[in-house]
Amino acid sequence: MKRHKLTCAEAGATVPAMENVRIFGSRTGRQIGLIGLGSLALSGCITVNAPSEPIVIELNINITQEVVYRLAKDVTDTIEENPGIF
Amino acid sequence: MARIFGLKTAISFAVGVAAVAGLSGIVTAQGANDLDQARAAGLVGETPSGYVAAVGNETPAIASLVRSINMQRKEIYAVKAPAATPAVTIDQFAKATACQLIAKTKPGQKYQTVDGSWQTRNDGPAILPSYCPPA
Repeated sequence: MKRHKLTCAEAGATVPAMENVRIFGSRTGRQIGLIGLGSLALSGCITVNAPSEPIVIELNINITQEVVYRLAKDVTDTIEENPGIF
Repeated sequence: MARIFGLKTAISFAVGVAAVAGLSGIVTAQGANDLDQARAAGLVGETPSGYVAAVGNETPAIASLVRSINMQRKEIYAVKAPAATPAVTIDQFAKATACQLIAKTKPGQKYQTVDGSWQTRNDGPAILPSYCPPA
């Protein structure tokens, strides 16, 4: 308790209510407190960050200029080889 | 007996294929003239998809020409797309072809923009889809 008073080194990592629980010893109490905090934080993250709508990946643009550049030679050849339909 | 029957079937199948191949050759030759004429007349235009489409009201003859040309194009795309390095989808190869086909339309010819509207090519550059490199 002296250390706690002097430095408050571990105060942030414990739930104040947990400090009064001495049945399992202070360390266990703090561990339970940490787990409690962790799951609180975790569930908080999921609840807050869960998207309200499904994630939509843009599939309309399925071709890029890079692909067109790369295919340029093949395309030119294709058009030249088939003058009847291009 | 089974062998003879199999051989006969194989021969008749081969003859059938040859006949179809000959027919498609004729269709291709006719299609060339018809496509050029239809494009010059503004009845058929290039689309951003890599296929042609009728501009405005289509006659049965134009509809049939468009179907024939597009079917043959798709067959070629289907061969070329997987052969590219690295391979692309038929759709990607078709769209890449559309870039060049629209870019090389001649003044007076029709082409379609991505919003579906038909444009008449003028002396300036064609309006290309965003995935096409600037001409």
